[in-house]
Amino acid sequence: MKLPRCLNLLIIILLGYFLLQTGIVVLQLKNIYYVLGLNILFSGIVLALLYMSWKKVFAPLRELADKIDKMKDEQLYPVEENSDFSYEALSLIKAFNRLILTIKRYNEELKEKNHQMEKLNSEYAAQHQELEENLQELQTTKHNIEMFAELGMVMSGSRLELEEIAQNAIEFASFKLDFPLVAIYTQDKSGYYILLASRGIKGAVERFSAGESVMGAAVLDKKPIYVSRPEYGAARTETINGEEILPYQGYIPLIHREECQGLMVLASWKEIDGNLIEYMSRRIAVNLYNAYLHANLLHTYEQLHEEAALLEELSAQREEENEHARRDRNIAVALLESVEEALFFHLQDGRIYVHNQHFARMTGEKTPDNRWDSSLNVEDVMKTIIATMENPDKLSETMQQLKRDPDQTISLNIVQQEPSFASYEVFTAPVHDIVEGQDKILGRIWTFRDVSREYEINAMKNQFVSTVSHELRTPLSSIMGFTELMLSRELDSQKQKKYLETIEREARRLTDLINDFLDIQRMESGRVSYEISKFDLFEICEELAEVFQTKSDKHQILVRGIPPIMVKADLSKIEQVLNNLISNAVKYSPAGGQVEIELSLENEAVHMSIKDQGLGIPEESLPHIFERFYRVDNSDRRNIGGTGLGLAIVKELLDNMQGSVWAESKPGEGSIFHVCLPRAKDNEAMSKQQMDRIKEENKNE
Amino acid sequence: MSMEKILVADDEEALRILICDTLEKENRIIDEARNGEEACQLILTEDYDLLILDVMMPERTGYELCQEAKNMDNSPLVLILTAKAQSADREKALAAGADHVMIKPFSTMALEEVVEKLLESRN
Repeated sequence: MKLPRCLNLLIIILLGYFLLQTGIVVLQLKNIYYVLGLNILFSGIVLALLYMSWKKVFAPLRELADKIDKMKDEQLYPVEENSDFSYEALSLIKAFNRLILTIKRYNEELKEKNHQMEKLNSEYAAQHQELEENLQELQTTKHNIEMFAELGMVMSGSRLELEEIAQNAIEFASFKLDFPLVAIYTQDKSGYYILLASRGIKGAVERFSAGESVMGAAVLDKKPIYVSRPEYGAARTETINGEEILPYQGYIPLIHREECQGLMVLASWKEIDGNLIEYMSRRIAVNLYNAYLHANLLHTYEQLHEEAALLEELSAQREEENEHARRDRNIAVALLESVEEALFFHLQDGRIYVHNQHFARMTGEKTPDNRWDSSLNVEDVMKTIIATMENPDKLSETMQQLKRDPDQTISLNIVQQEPSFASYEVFTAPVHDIVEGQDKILGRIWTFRDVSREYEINAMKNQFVSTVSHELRTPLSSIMGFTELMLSRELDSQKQKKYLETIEREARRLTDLINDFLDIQRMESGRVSYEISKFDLFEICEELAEVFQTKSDKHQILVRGIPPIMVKADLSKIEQVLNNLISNAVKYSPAGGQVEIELSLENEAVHMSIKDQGLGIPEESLPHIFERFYRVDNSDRRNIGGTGLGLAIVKELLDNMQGSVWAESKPGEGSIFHVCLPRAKDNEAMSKQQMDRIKEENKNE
Repeated sequence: MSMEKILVADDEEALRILICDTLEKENRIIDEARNGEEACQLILTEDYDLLILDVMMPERTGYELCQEAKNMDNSPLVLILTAKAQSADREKALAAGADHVMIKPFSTMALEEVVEKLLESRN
């Protein structure tokens, strides 16, 4: 240690010496003495300095150093007790002591500070540690949150189908969460848990039930089971069937709404983060639950849809059936209404099931809107009918008879009281169910055929026969009687002549009667054919007037009008009509007078009137004069012969030629008979002469 | 011997003549009526032994006249002559109180016989 200090001194000296030499050179001191003297001076200064430094610095220092070496560390040198030290040494010591003390104090302070620093440092380290941990945790949380979010996206991206949910969850667990082995089970309808999807597991268990094995235990307790076997290490171990056994395994039941929806099985090399996994399990459970709900809903919807379709089909079928039923009913009603008979059908209990309008009209019942199942009862209705009958006993008896033997078929005739006097042919029969079998009686049908018209016709026929008989018998009586008298008695010639005249007149009357009768019979039976042609009525009237004029001097027969009066009719029938009317006019004006035949044209018709100045027709008889066998009876016309058929024939003939006839009269002043006939257009007209010519030509051919 | 009084009512002149001529006899008066009304007047005013009535007459039918006559005191006998040949007509006539019914055409001899018998029964 000392040597380097000496060397420093030596270097300083040498530097001084060098500076001296340099000064000399610079100053160009050539005087050797000067040079020598300077050198000696310098040497003397150096020597003095050396001594001084030795005496004042190095020696005490050495002394001090020795002493100090002998001192214990960190102890002050005891100045008072060691007074053998030189003053310098002492002052040094004192200085050192002060320095030491100062150093000591600083040291203390430093120590203190260091201590504090260390303390702070350790605190900081702890905080750092904590921060690190927090950060770690945050990062985990962040990771988890990211995972959760991603899982959420994956899950919500899945369709609500069990397999797809399971597949997506497994892919997520496998790729994102780094589980090499994953499987998801769900509970099927039978209560078993069946494998939905798996990854990385060869020959995974397809099916298990609650309580069976570790998987069954997890679903039974609804709590996750984690199995840790760190002893397996990070190495994969394969069992005989190729299944990998990893050190960390998790069996997580998928719980939603406190119901186990399924099970997720995971295996990993790392310890399993229960948080994330359980969160995931809940997500899957929710999705599975929703998928089930969805499937149920779908199923229900499909069922509903199917049911709706079925219902629709049924309703369409029903609608069709209804349509058929409606149509059948409509047809049935139409059929009931289209028959002439009044009819009703009543059930075994007497309720009138259906009736038609004829029946309603007959009994005065109102036809209900719903013809079926009315509130009418056969007993009540029958009472009503019986009450209106001329012969009520017949129907009452029938009702009694039916009570005794309800399976009877009965026909009878009943007549209603005045004013209708309607006659009904009643028929009633049990109605058997033809479809179900003859044994089953549905009810009873009643028909009421209105035979009034037939009765009337029959009565008319009888009346006609009776009248004809009467009319024939009257002249016959005269003929027979007078003949008998002539044969049995001796009579004078005057009387004989009178009798013979009467016989001849009555015989002629009989002939006319028979002719007229045959005519009207032919007309009635439609055996009379009409040959409609066009001719001049005026001409015909003039011809006939001439014929009648020649028979009677008392009458003046006139034809008025502007010829030609063209008509469309049957010529011979018109001749018959005119014959009857003119002969009547002549006959019933026994005192004679004018018979005016007036012809005129109207729009579409020809009007003819035949006016006489005869007896006229009583007012009460006017409506009847065209009836058969009707004859006005009074003493004035007692001797005027007639059959009572002439005007009836006129009317019948004109009716059949689109014509018409009516009469007006004042008794005592005469009658006017009006006739209308269809008019023929002038250009269509053909005169009688022309027609005759054509007929002639036809004959000649 | 009292006079027999007969009324013949028929709207057919020829028949009236026939009946009158057939029944013409001494001690017998035969009146004629041309219709129901005339006959009725005569029945009410004259005292007849026998009425010979046609059924189908204007104003009054033979049946009506018959009924009326039969309701009188000392009612005359009634012979109804009808051209209606049905049995119902005969019954109607008997129901009206007629003593005999003859159907037209009739035999004058049968008429004579019937009238004689009826008048005898009355005597």
